[in-house]
Amino acid sequence: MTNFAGVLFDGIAYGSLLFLISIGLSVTLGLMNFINLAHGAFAMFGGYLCVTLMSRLGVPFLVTLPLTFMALALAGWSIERTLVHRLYRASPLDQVLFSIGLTFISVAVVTYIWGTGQLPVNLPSYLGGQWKIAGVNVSVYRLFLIALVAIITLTLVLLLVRTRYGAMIRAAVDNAQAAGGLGINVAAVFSATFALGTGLAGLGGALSVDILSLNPNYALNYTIYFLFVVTVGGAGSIAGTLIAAMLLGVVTIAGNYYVPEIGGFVTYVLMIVLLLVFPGGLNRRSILHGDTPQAASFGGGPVPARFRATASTDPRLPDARWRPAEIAFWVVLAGIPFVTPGYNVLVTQILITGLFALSLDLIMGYAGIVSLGHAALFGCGAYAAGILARMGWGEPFSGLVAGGLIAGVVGYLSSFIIRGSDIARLMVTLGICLMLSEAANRAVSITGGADGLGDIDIWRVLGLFAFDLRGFTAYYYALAIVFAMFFLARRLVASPFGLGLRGIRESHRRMPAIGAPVRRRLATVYTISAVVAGIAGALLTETTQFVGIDVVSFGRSSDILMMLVVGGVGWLYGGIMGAALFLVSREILADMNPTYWQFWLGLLLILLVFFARGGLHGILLAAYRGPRARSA
Amino acid sequence: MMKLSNPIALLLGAALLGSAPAMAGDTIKIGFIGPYSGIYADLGGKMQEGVKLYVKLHGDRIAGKKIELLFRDDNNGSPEVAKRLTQELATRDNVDILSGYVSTPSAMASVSIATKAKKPMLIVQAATSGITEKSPYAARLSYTLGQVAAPLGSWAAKNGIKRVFTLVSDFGPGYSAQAVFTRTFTQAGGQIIGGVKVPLGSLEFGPFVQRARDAKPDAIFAFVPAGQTAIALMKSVAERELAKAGIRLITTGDVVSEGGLDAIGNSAVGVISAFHYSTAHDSPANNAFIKAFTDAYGTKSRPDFMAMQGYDTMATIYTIGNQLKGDLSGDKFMAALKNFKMTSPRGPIEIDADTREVVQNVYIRKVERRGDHLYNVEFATIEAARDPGK
Repeated sequence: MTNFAGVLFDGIAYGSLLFLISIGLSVTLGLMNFINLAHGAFAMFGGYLCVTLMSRLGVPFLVTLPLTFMALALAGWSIERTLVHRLYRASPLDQVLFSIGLTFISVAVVTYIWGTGQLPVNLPSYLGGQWKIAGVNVSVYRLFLIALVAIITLTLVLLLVRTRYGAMIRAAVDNAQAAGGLGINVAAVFSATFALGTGLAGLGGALSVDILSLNPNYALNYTIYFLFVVTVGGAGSIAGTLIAAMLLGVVTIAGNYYVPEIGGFVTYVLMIVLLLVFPGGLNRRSILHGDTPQAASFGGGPVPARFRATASTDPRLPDARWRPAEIAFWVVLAGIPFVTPGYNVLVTQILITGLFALSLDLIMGYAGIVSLGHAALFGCGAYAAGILARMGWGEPFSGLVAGGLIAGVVGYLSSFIIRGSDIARLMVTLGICLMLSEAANRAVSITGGADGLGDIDIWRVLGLFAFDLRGFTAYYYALAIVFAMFFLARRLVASPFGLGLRGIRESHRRMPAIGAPVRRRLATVYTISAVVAGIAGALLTETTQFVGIDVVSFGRSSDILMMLVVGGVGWLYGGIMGAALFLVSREILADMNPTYWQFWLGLLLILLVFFARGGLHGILLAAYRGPRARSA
Repeated sequence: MMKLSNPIALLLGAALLGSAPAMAGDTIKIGFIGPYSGIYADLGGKMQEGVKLYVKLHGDRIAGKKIELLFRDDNNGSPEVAKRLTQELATRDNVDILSGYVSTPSAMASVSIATKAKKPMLIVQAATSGITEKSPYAARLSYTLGQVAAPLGSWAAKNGIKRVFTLVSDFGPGYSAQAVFTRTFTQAGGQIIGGVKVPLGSLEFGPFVQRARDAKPDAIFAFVPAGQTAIALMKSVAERELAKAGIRLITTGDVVSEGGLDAIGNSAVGVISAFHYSTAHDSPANNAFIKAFTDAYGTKSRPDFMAMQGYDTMATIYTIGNQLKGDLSGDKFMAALKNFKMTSPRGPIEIDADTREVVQNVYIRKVERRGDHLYNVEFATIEAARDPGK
């Protein structure tokens, strides 16, 4: 019995930690509809500031907390005034790119100031150690965290419900124009709310320093956790966030204590189940909106109205004819090894990444399904090809077939649970990806686990061309496959089926009226996308002759999403252009400085958001239409 | 300027800049592939500091030829990036020696290139057994997990620890650390009374440590990756007051490596570990290394095993390079590496002629505070330990 009480206490304490690092995001995402993935970066600065104040200036820990809150609120306010406020009307994908760019810059800045190592944290002794309460060992610091959660929750609820400021936010979020007409300074209210969010992030960061270790990757390491809490809780709902954090905390800790064998899966299963049952979050009634579910308005229900915004919608009917520029593109690709053979491997990897991004574009750009877990399918293909080759059958084309097949089956099966609002789909796909990653990690005898799968012997292509050291065979093999897949994808999106998908993307409610089976169409395109992703994965395995566990990682999923957005969603070439821009600039920047290149990459992303809406496609379109627009 | 202009040439699709062969004869190029940004940046950064320190102290020439160091970021040890960089270093930059490789997948994916290009591949870290078997051109200057975990098992059983609970991260290296420790510990008469595997992404070690505590063992054997995971584990251990319950903590040395020791703080005092290197090792070679490192980088960066291994890699290349009068072609270099002996800051080392693994002392150490810093103070030595996996 004392065991159970101890586990329950630990669970609540863990839930408190999750609440503290997430609540700031719930404020910016839920109240302002701003997707601030730089939340972790603000928390990280909070942590570093708190520790520096203590160790350098000797400020007592309890005094650093309000100071950290104020400093980060001020920082958030300045960034909101200069940059963020320009993005409120931008598409969520632009907001995501901007905040990821900000995060990259933060990581580089923190590395520059504090170094790469772990920072020592020495909390006052009165917060250390354990108390024995009713036979249960209770950690003092955790008790302190739980008490703070109660105080912060209460303060926030009072602030948002009972004060004039709360009333102004509600009015401004609901209808900015009308609120402005009533004399409310909407811009100031939004600035204050953003500052509140970043201040809370900083406070959460400062409070977590003793449990989560402080290093420059803090900004990225915990993203999954707070996205998780906020989505499950229902963005903008303080009660929902609290309940979600506690539920996740208690279930995770209890799972880890009682059934450590499956501990790694418990959290993900819980997340997926909760999101399937409550697609809009646990508490659909947001404090601000009364009956209007905030999380649903974020995605606009099953139709991702806002995520679609960057997809350039050409009002004309799709035209399947090859344009000269397109033909030139492939011809240039075929010529690259003759001109710069030193870059064969890099361009091969760009092609494969581009194919993977194409698979995401099929569901995202054409059918409006966003995914943050597409690496799950890529990984299935990569492992299938690798395992087949290790079983003694290294024929390259069979590997591609195996990869596509396995990924297709997994994609078809998972298409049944990928539903609900955008954000719910985003998190369910992420959950599936994380579960597969954990499964690959556990199944060491099949996948090689964290050490990866080596000894993959791939035979000659067509029995003629061996994979050579300079990468010529790999290059042309990959180019042929990628071109073939592009060819098919072009036909697909221009076909009646492709047109039907666009119809669903535009209005899933009207499509049934003309007799289109929406669910079946979506399942079909998801499966096709999975097959393409699987083939891309198999291609990576065959050209690398190794499968690392990172083929199924969250990082690969989010990278591909970022590349696709950078390149432009919904024109097939976005992925390959984005992959080229991303990988080539990473290569150049990392070559100039292997430690701080992320700073410049972050800056590049931010510049793209402000000066090139719609990604590279946007730039190309503007260049193409520019002269005509002027002449008209 | 060459470095910058190459990728731009690619962008423009112009010129044959990329394939320009290196000027053979007057320089020696050494490529270091590793994580210089991201999660493992600390490991890569320390390696780089060790490498540069050696060049600073011993000049930038081997047998009159100028040394050129190329550092390439492998994006968190991604195998496909590491392999690509290896291929590019071998073909485009035409390096003489491939080195670096901090994570096992990065080394595993790249090792076939060493064979194809016939270039020596000196692995600075990647600690999973079996990598060097994949190519006659691969050698490892670090250690293997088994090499340090095996002596700890026998030492524990002979030193009053009878019942052990194991706590390892739930991934391949965790399984092998657990298996090796269990084998030597039980062979020497110890008893494993239980074990738990912690999911890799865990932020919270509380429930696992509590489970271990509830089993009432004499000691907990722990292996988790160095860095933030190790620190999270040690914080939970402190909070659950294992010492008060009379339970000792024994680990492999990476859990209490000098890089993270001060971040763990005083709660690490008393932890017993087995490892091939401690900065507190008392020998003229190590004292000189520590002094030079501190002079070069100040107090902001503490030397650790990664810095030492980077330094040793350069020492090996310099010694053999001078011996071969600057001719570092693959076969000659690998032949000279057989039975190569050196006095390293860690103690005497030798490269095994058959396995190309380091034969070295493994030390049993205890964390103690000396002045401002915590140190692993050695108190027992297992001489000339080999990788038990071979």
